[in-house]
Amino acid sequence: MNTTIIVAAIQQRLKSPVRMVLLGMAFVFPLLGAWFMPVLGLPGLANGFFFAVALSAGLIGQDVSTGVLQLVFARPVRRWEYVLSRWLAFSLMASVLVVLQVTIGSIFISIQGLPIEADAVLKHMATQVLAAIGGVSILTLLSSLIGGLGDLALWVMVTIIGGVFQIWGTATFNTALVRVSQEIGRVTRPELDITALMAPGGVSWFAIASYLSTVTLCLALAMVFVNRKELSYASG
Amino acid sequence: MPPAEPAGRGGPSRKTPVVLLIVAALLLVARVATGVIEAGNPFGPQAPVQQQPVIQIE
Repeated sequence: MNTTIIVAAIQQRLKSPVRMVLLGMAFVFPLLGAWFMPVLGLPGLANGFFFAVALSAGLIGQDVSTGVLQLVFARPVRRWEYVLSRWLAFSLMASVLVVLQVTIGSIFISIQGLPIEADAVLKHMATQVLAAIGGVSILTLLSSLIGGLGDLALWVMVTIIGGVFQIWGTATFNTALVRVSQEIGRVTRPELDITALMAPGGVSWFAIASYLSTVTLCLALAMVFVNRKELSYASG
Repeated sequence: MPPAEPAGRGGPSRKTPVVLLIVAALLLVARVATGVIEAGNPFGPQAPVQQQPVIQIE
């Protein structure tokens, strides 16, 4: 892990006005909802994945497009270290936003007189943090494949393909197609619902393995792709 | 100008953490195994839902 890369990545995002505006809106609007419409409850404060997308789009690709990566790798930095540090930086940022939003939102809901349990708040917070980490992971992989903000376009494309399979499978009663669309969904939006996981009826080990497998696979493949990247200025 | 290192090869800066690859592969196997166990054959037809008998109280 490289602290300098982590700090630089966080500073890079804090200096991006478009991302800050997007994040500000995604942070404030649900809190307004919690204050003025507390009946929305905790589900109204579910922005972990959006925070991840807003922060980590172009996670590697933008550095490739702008020529930053060539300069970074001119220093004694291992490529896997770079990938892991960027992933960690944006996962941390998204997680902090989730924790702050859910905490403030829960206080608002409580002030408005609606009962809210600490246990439910913690479970919701953990679910959203995991969604944020999952989101950063899939964008890390996609960003290692394509320059600029192409990772976002790839993500949208794969999500649409998943949706088409879902509709096609449902219309033709084809369970295999529906299953494929569900798997695409688990990859494009890795989530682990802690509330459902701890509900009576037993733990779904598939849900746990599915989430962890997506996160680790995305990271490992991103490292392999970045290792294989040709970064010479002459290659373009 | 030719690149200093051919793509996909070379030095310590390009080493992929093998442990992570092994963990990812093991988790993928666990994912498939638990998927098969929890949902039957994932690509096969799903088992029909058993209807519970309705008990009428008169």
